[in-house]
Amino acid sequence: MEESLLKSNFVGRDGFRWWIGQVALKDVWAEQKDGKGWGNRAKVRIMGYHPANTVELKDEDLPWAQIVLPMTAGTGGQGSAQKVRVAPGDIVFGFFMDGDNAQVPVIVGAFGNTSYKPEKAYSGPFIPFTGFTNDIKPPDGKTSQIVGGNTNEQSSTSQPSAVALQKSQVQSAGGAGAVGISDAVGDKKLNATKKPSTLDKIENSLNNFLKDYAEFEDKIGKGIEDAREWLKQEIDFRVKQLEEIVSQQVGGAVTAVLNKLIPLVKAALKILYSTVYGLVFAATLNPTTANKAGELAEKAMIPVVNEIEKRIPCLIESIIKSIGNIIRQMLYAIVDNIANFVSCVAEQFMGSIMNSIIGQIATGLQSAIGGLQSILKYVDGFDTEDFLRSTGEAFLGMLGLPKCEEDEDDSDTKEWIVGYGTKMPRVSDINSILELANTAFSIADAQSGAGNPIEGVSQIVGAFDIFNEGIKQPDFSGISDCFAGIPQFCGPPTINIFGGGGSGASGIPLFGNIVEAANGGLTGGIIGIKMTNPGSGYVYPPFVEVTDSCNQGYGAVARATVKDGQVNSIYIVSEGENYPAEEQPYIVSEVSVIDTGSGYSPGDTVVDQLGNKYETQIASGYIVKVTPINSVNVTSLPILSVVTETGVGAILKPKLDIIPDFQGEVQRVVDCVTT
Amino acid sequence: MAERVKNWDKRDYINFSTDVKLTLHSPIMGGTGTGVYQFYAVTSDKMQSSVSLSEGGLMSIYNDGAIEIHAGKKNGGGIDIEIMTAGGDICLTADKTGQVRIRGSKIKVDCDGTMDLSVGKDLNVKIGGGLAISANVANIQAQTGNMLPEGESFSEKCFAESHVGSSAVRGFTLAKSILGG
Repeated sequence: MEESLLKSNFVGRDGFRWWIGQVALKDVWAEQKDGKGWGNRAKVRIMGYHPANTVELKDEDLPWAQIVLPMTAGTGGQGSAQKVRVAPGDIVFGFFMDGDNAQVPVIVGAFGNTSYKPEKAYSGPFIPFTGFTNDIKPPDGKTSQIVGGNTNEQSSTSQPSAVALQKSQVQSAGGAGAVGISDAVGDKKLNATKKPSTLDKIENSLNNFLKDYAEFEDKIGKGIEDAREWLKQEIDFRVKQLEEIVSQQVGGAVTAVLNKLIPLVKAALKILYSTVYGLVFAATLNPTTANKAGELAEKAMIPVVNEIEKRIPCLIESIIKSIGNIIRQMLYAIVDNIANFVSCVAEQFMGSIMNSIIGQIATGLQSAIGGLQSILKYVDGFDTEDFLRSTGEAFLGMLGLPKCEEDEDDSDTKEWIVGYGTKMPRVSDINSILELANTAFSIADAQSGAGNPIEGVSQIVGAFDIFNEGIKQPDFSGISDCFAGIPQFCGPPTINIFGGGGSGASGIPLFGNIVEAANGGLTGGIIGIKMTNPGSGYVYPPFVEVTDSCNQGYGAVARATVKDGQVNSIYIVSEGENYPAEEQPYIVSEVSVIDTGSGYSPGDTVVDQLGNKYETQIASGYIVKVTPINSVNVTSLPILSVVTETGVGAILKPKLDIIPDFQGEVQRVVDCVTT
Repeated sequence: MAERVKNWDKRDYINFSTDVKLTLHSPIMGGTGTGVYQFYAVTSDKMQSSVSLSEGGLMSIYNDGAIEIHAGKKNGGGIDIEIMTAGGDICLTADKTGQVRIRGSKIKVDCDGTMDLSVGKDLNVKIGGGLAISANVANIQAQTGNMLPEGESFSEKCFAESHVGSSAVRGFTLAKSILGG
């Protein structure tokens, strides 16, 4: 009583005691955290004041500590508030409001956790323990990103973010344990186009199917029933999808056969008439009778021709259904063979579908055309299969190519890769695919003829490499150079310039930020693109795509600028990383003024972080031209900035070039100009 | 393995919980450059969702579940949703079993240039009222069917230059239809 009378009860006047303590297990202040709390407070065990055991002082008996908020957090006044984030096990510090009495602690702040903080459960007072509880469980490290969930130290491994890459690249960028921002990243999506290409659709369907299969492959191999069921359902779906994709081509191929047949039938009818007329006239010498006989012969062919026409819709329908069953066998046949999806896989798949279509049309039309063979013999006969195998015309639609007198498709962007953007449309030659189909068919046919038929679906659609498990072996030799294994060598990336209404522009990558990869090779980013051909006919900037054959590099983004119909420059927006690279120093050769900005003053200069100097031309406050005036070797992307007190908004991008070979010193300059 | 130099100093983040976080300026390289911002969340059954912008300029919205956009509850008419581009295309793609569906009491498609309709299988048009097509030139190409003008079917083309002529084919098909053949 006497002591209390001597107290002033003003904070600080009765002594000011700082303290450090540990927030207790949640169990003893659970009501505060479970929605029944009052104020902002936690129970703390304070070092030096409270014993380091729970016998002398139980956790339940620890004092409540009030929590002070930073001024930016909001107190709830005017509806402004943030949650107080305090977790069991946190090491906090504060002061006692009642000075030396040490009964009313206040928490002012907390010490952030380091990566050394154990993730173990509570074992006793002042021993570090995890802040996770039964209500807030630790992340499993598979999908949830916050794998270092108990630390917030200033390091690259603390609290990593989700990585916006496809699965095969996630670990390269984010390190072990990193996961992708979404499983959808890397999926290929076809855009609607005027002339949709069946090959593109097949490639898209196969690529996404094999990408999804790769995720299930391990489970399927282990015989997990759900995974097997997934595969069955996925293949059912892909069969239906591919049936629809090829149905237009079946109709197109049937039409091509009929269009080929029309002039032949016309010519054959003429010969039929002449033949009958001649025979009857020779027998009767009566032209009227001969004419009637000739016409009757022609009329006799009407039901035969009409039967073909009548069968067309059913024929197309039945062919599509038959092809569906074959596609199912094809999908099961390739699913374990393709370790790395490459475009030749799609081409071979299309070739096998072409063989299937050809076979089905030939069989389906055989009986209908059979009745015409009696007159088609006048024009050397007609073989449906020979016709379809001899020309790619019937399958032009498969590549989305225009037929005669049709317009080209003006869509620049036919394919989009989720997370990466637009992709350059493929260019394929229908005749080379047909040739491949014919070769594969001939091999299978010869094997059957020799009494040693190839096993499986190859017997029906041809001996394509994709049905051979050896296709993923580097030394595999097949009907074409199609290797679907893990690439053994990753060459430098290629620069694809497409769209913009023009064509012909090309460039080569210039590498920077080069590092040594685990395999001893060099990888790096793309810090510049040297134009090797400006192309022509561009009406707006084309797309620029950077790809490598191993799908190893990622993140490079470049944009083109167009002048007088040509690509005059490509500048780097993001250099990316992990591209197979070659080490070579470069110089800044030019600077592209992307935005002139405004308000710049004479004397303002442009600099970069590498020490290059630039001559800057300013007119009416705008930066109109920037020229490099020295040649510092460049090994990373120069970031240009303007030293100014008045100007704003200029965007300047460096254009790099390979350092030219040393030409020797200039020994003497002779001035020939005389006055 | 050596690493590219990354600007960790610029990174900032707020973790709201183990499953929800906002990251600014992540130096980790993505498909279109490093991150500018990324708001990421994952549900307890591992459904991921994020909204992000990369240095390459691509803004992405992902969600493993459905995305709902609803507007205009109190707008009272006019335009509730306007989607525009400055110079590029607008592409709608429904993959796998998805359909592109548009429903409205009235649907208007206004195209200044050419409209292309490419259908892999069947094009079905059902009309409660009438069908009005107005064009300067209208052509139909097919091998068979009742919309073909005279002389354009496969059989008629085959007999076009014969002595009986394509009219004999029409006579044959007419007789066949009357007799039910």
